Formats: sequence, structure tokens, C-alpha cells
Amino acid sequence: MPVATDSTATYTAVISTLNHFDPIPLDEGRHRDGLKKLAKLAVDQLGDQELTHHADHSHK
Amino acid sequence: MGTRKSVAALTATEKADFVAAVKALKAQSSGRNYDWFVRTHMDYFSTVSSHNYAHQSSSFLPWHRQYLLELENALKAHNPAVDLPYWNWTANRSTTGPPFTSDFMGGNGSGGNGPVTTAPFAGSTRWRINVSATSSTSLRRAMALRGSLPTTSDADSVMGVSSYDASPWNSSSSSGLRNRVEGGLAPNLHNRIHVWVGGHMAQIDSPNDPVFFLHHCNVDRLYHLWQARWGFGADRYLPGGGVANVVDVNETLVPFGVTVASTLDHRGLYTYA
Repeated sequence: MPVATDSTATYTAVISTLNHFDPIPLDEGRHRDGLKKLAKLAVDQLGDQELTHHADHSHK
Repeated sequence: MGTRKSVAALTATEKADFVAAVKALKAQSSGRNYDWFVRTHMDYFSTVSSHNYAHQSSSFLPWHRQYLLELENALKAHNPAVDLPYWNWTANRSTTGPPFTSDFMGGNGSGGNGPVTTAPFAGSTRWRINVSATSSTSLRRAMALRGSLPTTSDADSVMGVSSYDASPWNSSSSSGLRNRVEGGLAPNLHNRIHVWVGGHMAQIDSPNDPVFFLHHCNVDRLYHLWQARWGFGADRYLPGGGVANVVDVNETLVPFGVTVASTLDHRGLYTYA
């Protein structure tokens, strides 16, 4: 994600396979921990599972 | 014409018939079987031919309306008496009450985000996950660990919104019914249910959990109630035309081959009790 170091924009961090319904805000302000939250969500969601080839399912 | 009832009002026979029809559709070896519906939801999860048909777009509500109708008709091919029921999550809020009873959708996953342990969709021998972004072949749920259920007040609040949608017609739209229902705007009636149920419902392959269809039936019921107040006509859908890469009212909903306009007044096909 091309985010300038002085950016004030808030982006949405989504791994569509896992958190489309629960997007996480990410910025250089109060959402600086967004990537950490996304990583925790991915770990919690997967648990003992692995991603399958459908996780990079192509769209027509 | 079918009448869609609340899961809380189903008789034991109606619940058994619905479960049997869902399992028959899963076992169907040709045509549009249950896994076709899972795969189609995955295919249309994001951009297809420069359009977001199913999500984060104006066509979210009509696309899922037609998707449910196709599923309901596929179930009726196995048992014509079956109608799709709805889960009114503003009223039925327990992880052990309707629809999560052992004679219907079954209960929570074990140990946080594990396999559902109570029938009839518990375990891969009863209900095998064939098409999924993750490797579990058993249905998983993680209820009430994340997210929350909307209240009656939340649902009522969107009924007073007169406009259907607004530019830029996506998750950034700052007004309108559609984004409030879908989840880009508060009160977020749709996304948070997927998160609250968790497990497969939280993933791209959420239709692997049959409760997906009961949830979306309730979303469609709320859209129906909004239309009953503001109108079923094509003039109530936005955008009306001329917006590139957004499904306008007279454009076709792929892959169903019907226009948005043709889905808006559903009252000749089904109604809600």
C-alpha cells in the first residue's frame, strides 16, 4: 500500500478472504496498530487451518 | 406464491423439510447444486467485468435478492413446500435459540473457532465443506466472539432513510439505505452478523454455512419493509442510469440474467410473514 510517511489519510486494511465483513482502519494516527490488529484477526480466524487455493480465487 | 416465515415460527416439520432440502441440494450431482451457490458467491465477491455486482455497490440488495430466489427455487425442486425462512437477529439473539437449535442450524463451534458439534450440519460426514478459502472440511462457527447483533432500534433507523444509495455507490457512500444496511455506514445491519457468527460465515465462502441464507433473507425482508414504505418502483433504485461500472437499474445482474428493475417488485413471487 503506497502510503506517504506524512499521509493523514485513513485506509482500510482487508484480506478479502478473511475479513471482508470486518475491515480494519489503518493510518499514521490513532490507527497505527491496524496491521497488528489485521494480523491477529487473521491468526484467530485461521486457527489450525491453512489457506487453500481458493483463497486467491480469481474473479471473472 | 411462497410465504417466508421467521425461523422462530417454523414447525418441526418445516424445519426438517428445510434441512432435508438443503442436504438434497448439497448432494445433487448436476446443475446448480449447493456448492454452485458457494462458488458463485466467491466468484462475485469482488470485481467482475469492472462491476461490483454483489458487494460494496448499489446492486448489493437486488443481487442477493435474486441469489436467494435462485437458491429457494433450487430447494423447491427437491420439495415444493419449502420456503426460505428468515433469521430476525433483532429478536432471536441467543447462540442456543432459533435458528441455532439442534434440530435446525445446530449450535456454536467448539473451542472458539472450531467445528460445529451439534446436528444436522456438524462434522464433515453430515455436511462436507468442499469449496472454501480455508482447509477445514467441517462447518465452523465462533459465535459472539467478535461483532454484535443489531437492535430493533438499529433496524428501525434505516427505514426512515428515503434515498436508496448515493455516489460514489460503494462502501464510501455517506448516505442512503444500501450502505447503512450493507455495512459501510452505521448501523451496519449486514456485515456485523457475518462477524458475530464467525467461522465460515466470516469468510469469502460464507454460504458454506446455511445460516447465511437465513441471515440474507432477513436483510431482504428489511429491504422489503423499506420498499413497502417508500415504493417498489424502479424510480426508487439508484443509480438510475449512466454511471459507468455501477449496476444501473436497467442493467443485468450477472450471472442471473435479469435486470435490477425486474427484481424490485417481488410480491408476485414471495412475501414475508
